[in-house]
Amino acid sequence: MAHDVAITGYGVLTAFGFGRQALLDGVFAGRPGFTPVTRFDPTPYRARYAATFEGDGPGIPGVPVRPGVTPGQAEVLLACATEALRMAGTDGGDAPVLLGTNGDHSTAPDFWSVPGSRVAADPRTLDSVPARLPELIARELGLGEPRTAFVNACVAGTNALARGATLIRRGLADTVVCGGAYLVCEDVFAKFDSGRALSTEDAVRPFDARRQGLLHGDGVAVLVLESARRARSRGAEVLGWLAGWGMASDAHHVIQPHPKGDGLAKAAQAALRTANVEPGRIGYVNAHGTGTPLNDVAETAALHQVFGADAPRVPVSSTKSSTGHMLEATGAVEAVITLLALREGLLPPTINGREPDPACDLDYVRDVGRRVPITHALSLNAAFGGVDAALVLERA
Amino acid sequence: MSTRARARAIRSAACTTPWGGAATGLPGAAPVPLASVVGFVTSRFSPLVHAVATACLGTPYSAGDLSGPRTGMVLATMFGDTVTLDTATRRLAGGQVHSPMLFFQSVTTSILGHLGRTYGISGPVECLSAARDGAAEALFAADLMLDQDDVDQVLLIGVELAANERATWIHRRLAAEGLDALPDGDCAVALLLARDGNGPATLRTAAGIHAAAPEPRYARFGWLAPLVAAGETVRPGADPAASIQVPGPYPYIVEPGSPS
Repeated sequence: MAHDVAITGYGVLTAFGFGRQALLDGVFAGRPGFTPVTRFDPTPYRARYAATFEGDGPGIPGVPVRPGVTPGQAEVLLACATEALRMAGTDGGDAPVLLGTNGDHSTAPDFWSVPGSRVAADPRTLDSVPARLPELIARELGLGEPRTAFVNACVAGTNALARGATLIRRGLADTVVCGGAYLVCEDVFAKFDSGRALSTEDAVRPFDARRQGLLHGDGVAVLVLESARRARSRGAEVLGWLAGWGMASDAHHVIQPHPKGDGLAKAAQAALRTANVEPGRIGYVNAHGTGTPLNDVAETAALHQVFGADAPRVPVSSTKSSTGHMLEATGAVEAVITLLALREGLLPPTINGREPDPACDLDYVRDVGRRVPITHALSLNAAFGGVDAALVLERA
Repeated sequence: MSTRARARAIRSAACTTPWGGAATGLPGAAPVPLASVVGFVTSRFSPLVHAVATACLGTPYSAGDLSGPRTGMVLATMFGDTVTLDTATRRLAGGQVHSPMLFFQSVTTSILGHLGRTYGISGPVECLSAARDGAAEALFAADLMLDQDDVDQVLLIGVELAANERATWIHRRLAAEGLDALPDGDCAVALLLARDGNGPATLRTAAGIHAAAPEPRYARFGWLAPLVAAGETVRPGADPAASIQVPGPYPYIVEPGSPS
């Protein structure tokens, strides 16, 4: 077991709100976050729903509520990073900043359509360059280098955490600020809608016979990773350990996953290997679980490869059934959810199940959360091109 | 902090310079048309990645194929596929429906998945965007990936399209923040780095390298200049005294000759 990469802080936003309690009240309570889209006019599209944060609850610290105005990725990332560092009790020093983000494209249509906008476009247009977001966060908080954006789609957030952990394990950094961000915007929504990847229902039904696709959701999460030595030396509370990580690819298809989940299984096995953890120690899997016909069968097959005959006994859930798919942020947000599962001894459920799919034959923690003390958990993500990533987290 | 001194073999390299309409008036335009890639339309981004990767790896399943399942891939780009992104956005702004083709090719991992399928590559895949010291960031990502016990070699691809209106608008406004320069036109470069063994050039970790203007002949490649120059060291007859310095938080030196 690897106890060298400590998680000492996090800040997180989903459709349910900001922070731990919002996740417990939403994801862990089995609530869906989907509502009709109001952030833009969804009339031209097949899909009409997304899980968007609408300013409920206490809001986002430091981000003013402006009716009709969606906050930008930069300001939400800054709020989450600030909260993560506050929770960790550190200013971060010269920590590298590593973020999964494809940039903020919420104002991109205005750039091309509003007369004169190219002279005086919304400053947020500058944030459409992915690399600018880690630069901004590092500059605002006085953090260090490298400042890297990971743009490998739905594994980007996981990749950012894996890189951060690698820097610490290799002794190249003592503290790393890492995470991911995606806020629902029309530009990206329209692309997924054109590809018929989105559900036309107001629900995502992972691993269910009636699943028909994913829905988007707001998600931003930033975590503080520290070397165990540094965390110990300053008396920081270790919230959990990022024990292992792995990445692999399918060598199968441009957009479809390998039907037996080969790449995902390989990534999970690499994560277990780097964590020095036997598969039998894993008490929970936070699945990628997009609710698309191909992903869920492939992921189930991958878990059979990883756990063998024990696979049906390992609880698996897709929290995207509550949060929606947060794209580049999804791995970071789900790492926080997995961390909470370890700390709370509560497994979040897969909701919206109606009819079991015989090809999805695992324990999907249906409908209600489950109180189970666990010591180790696996979080999985996959992206177009058959690109796969996995994290192993351990309870502190 | 641990030291990170070590050397990696550069087995192969390829570079594709300004192309098509974007090459008008630029030196170094490629002499043959860019080969299309089935399923990838409108933008040259993915065809550039494909062209430079296949030139570096060789014909799949031929005697000269340098790939293998234990190959990882790193793709570095500052702006990404601006042509696909902005074509889709302009269609949206104009009230047109999106094209599903633009949807899947807008995701950078799609073309890497295509390469993975073509060559049987099943290693890790990273895609990154850095505002400063992009070449060193890319080399660092590949170097770290080579530490993994399931990776023997890494195909590193740096790619940037000729700046369009949005990229130009943004780049001008961020110049004061020290954003890396963009290439004058479309440019892609690939390096095949190996953990062990020999190659015609070597990547070494370094210390104390400070940013310096690239040689004039490389300046037009913007942030890709150190990678293009590194590729030059792989050429037969490369000046054995030539070494390429790549500044950044984790700096490197590339020099002709094998690590051993």
